[in-house]
Amino acid sequence: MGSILRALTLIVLIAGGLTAGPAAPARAASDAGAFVGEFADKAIALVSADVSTAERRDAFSKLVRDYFDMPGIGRFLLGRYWRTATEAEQEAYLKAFTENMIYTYSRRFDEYGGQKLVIDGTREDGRFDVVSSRIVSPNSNEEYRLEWRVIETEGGKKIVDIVIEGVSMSVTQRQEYASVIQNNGGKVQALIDALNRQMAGLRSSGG
Amino acid sequence: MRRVTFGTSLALFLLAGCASQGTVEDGAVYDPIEPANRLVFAVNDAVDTVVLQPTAYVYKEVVPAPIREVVRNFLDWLSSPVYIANSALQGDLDGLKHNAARFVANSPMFGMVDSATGLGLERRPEDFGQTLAVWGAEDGPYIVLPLFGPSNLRDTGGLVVDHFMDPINYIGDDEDARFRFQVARRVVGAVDFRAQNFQQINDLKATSVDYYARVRTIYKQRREALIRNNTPPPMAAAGGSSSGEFEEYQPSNAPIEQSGSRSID
Repeated sequence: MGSILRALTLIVLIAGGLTAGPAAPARAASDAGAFVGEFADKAIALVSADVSTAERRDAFSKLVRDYFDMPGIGRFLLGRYWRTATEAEQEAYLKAFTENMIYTYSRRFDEYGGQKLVIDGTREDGRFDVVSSRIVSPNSNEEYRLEWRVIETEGGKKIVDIVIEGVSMSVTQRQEYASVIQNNGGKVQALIDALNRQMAGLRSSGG
Repeated sequence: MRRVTFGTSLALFLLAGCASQGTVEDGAVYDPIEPANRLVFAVNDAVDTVVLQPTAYVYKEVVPAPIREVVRNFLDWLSSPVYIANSALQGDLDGLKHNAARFVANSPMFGMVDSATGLGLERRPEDFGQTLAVWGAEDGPYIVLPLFGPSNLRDTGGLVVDHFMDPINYIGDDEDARFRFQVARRVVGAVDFRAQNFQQINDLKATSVDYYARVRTIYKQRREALIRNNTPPPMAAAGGSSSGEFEEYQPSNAPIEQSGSRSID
């Protein structure tokens, strides 16, 4: 369990900014590994940038929207409930989900401790490319295994999932969302309310 | 002796249950006793908030990191015989060599100094739940155990068998002392675990919309990764697809609707 929990927070850390390690492979435009490395590079540049917290969070939000397939992920997380939701619900859900995801990730910005992301390789997995990498800490010999699931869209490559020590962020959230909806008589609105309540709580606690 | 018999039959009973498993949606956790599980989960969570979290906080703040490291190393070393036995039972020669070498390398200091990790032999826990999975047993229903936390039928059976595999239970004749030692070991292990993951567990809770469901799926995914010893799923190795639920993934090209205000009501 220990590694699970640490791993889960690491996603937040990654989002909070990691360096692409020097071991990143050559930057061919077609290479998913390079794409992931590029994202990590930009995220770490943001952490080091001398700007206000609000500015950094805005920049981070844009970065995540550029590199992650946010609407696609949002739809995937809702699973079969996407089709049962009304158009207004879909829109409200996507907005709540995106804000929520970006906010929880960017909370960790200040806890960055010099970790590096080392890209190990890429394998094909159906329609996806899966990039294997490791997070290496500067002052401990602990490592975390990280996999990035990347898909080719019309708008270029996009990240759709991060798997940390075997735990998929997207699958975890998908199961959690399904549980909320199921326990509320299949109503998608219940999930939207829960997401909005949680955001309000996190903001007021100054997180 | 009678207790051994009881334990064995309990384990067999639990194992028998593993054979049958209801159908669940792809990726979902089979949880037929969810209401009871949620209740136990809530009690565990309360124990965490009231007892474990404050204790772990004090432990983390008062005991220096190197000492905590020694404690963690020692606890892991105590479990070495169980790791070794399970690697053998899984027919995992690599794991057997790995864990045996770790045990030998760390034994001069009674496991308190983990020199094995420096030699490239990092921790590699194996338990009987994993062994059963390697033998082909399904997870069985999800069970939240009082104090022990998330588990399933297979892994609960595994816990019982691991207990009887543990040589410490057969050392000396002072049964009371042995029992106290085993309890102390679990308690210290729990405090150390909570201290090591202090902020992470708090965040996991704070950022979830259904903490119970989140822990339930993480447990399943993490166990699957441990059973595979962190190697990619077999389909992927064969050049096929291990996408599972991602088969239905539909990428989107339309930019997400940007709402003007960032305020929240």
